[in-house]
Amino acid sequence: MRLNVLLILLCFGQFALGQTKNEKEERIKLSEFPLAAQKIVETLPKNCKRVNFYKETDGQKQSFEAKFKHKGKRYSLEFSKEGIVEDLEVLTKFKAVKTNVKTEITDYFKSTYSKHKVIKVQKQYVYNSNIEASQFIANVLSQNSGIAPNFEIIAEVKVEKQRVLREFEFDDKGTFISFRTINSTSYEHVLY
Amino acid sequence: MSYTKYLLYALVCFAGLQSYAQSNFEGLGESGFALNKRLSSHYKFNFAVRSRYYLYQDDALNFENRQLDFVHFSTLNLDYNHALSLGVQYRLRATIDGESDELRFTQQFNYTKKNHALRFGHRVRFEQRILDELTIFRSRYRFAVDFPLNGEKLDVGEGYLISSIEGLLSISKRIKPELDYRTTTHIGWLVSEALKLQFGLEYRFEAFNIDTEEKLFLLTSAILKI
Repeated sequence: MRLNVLLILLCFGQFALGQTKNEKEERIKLSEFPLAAQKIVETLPKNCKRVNFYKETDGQKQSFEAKFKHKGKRYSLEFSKEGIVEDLEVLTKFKAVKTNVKTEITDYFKSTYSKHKVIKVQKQYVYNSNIEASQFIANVLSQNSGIAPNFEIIAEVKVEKQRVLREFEFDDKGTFISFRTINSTSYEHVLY
Repeated sequence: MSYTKYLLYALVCFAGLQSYAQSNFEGLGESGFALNKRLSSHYKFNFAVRSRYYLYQDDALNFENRQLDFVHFSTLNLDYNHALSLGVQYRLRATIDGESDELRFTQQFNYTKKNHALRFGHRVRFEQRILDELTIFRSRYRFAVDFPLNGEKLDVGEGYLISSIEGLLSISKRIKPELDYRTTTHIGWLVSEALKLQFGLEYRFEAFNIDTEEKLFLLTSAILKI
């Protein structure tokens, strides 16, 4: 009897699977990265630790990401499908953001939403193909890039009495650029 | 770094514990089906039915039904990672194994903290367990860690692991205060956006301050989001 219920549930699950959007992040091996990206990853300094590789699929769009730790900071190096560097992001704390930029961002949240809670902040160094990708990475890691970073912020905001998670992008001065709504993790009903 | 090896360690630990089995040891199974519904970003509720049965008793394999639980939880999300819940449960035992039925009220506070792929959960619960001849007041605290087995985000078709430890204190006018300890490991699978299947092992040291009873639970559950 119990087995029958399980089988029915599995069939229902497969049906529901067909309805979902094809958005997926999976851990892969370096050898599965595009060749151009593999060459760039190999130039990472030796003291980069916990280097992991991911492939992200969002509908038709595919991208690759190498995540690593360098001098205690967590970095994420993003590549296009062709293996061209797009940006290098570093995780930071909101309180560590420059005061004037922080004020600008906070003012945006306060004037746009009745409530907000910052959950994750990343500085985003966008790659400019004027220099070699490996040089760009080395410059950012040594905090010598001269590039003013954008800010990618995940925050929970209140919109029409509902709380939603959004990923915001701000420029180096804290001026709002864009946002996209993100699905809260599928974990929400596990255990709690 | 693969999380799979942690799962193997956990299973080896449980297997080790089982080999110490003595006469105060029992093996049980629990199968459950839960329905979850989110009505808004602030409120969600849950209905579950769980069946518990003996698998190993008095040093012998023995299948015997023990109880049936009907559970409801209402959860108010205070913000992204804080939640308050109220629960009510009816446990049917009298017509199954002759023991007292139970009505249980639960108040719960939950806090989660995410650190990359890992999510830490702290849960505090207060329960009033109303039995035929006594009422037990139980306080419990659980610390849980969960993470996807592939990447940093749980996608459809992927597995996840949950491990938790929990301490419980039961107080009642008629019996001595009782301390329990539970260790649980679950492996789960997000079959679709709506359905999760979970399999787990739980080891309990019950009343370890009085006369320890050890129990191993085999857990299976299906969780459907509607």
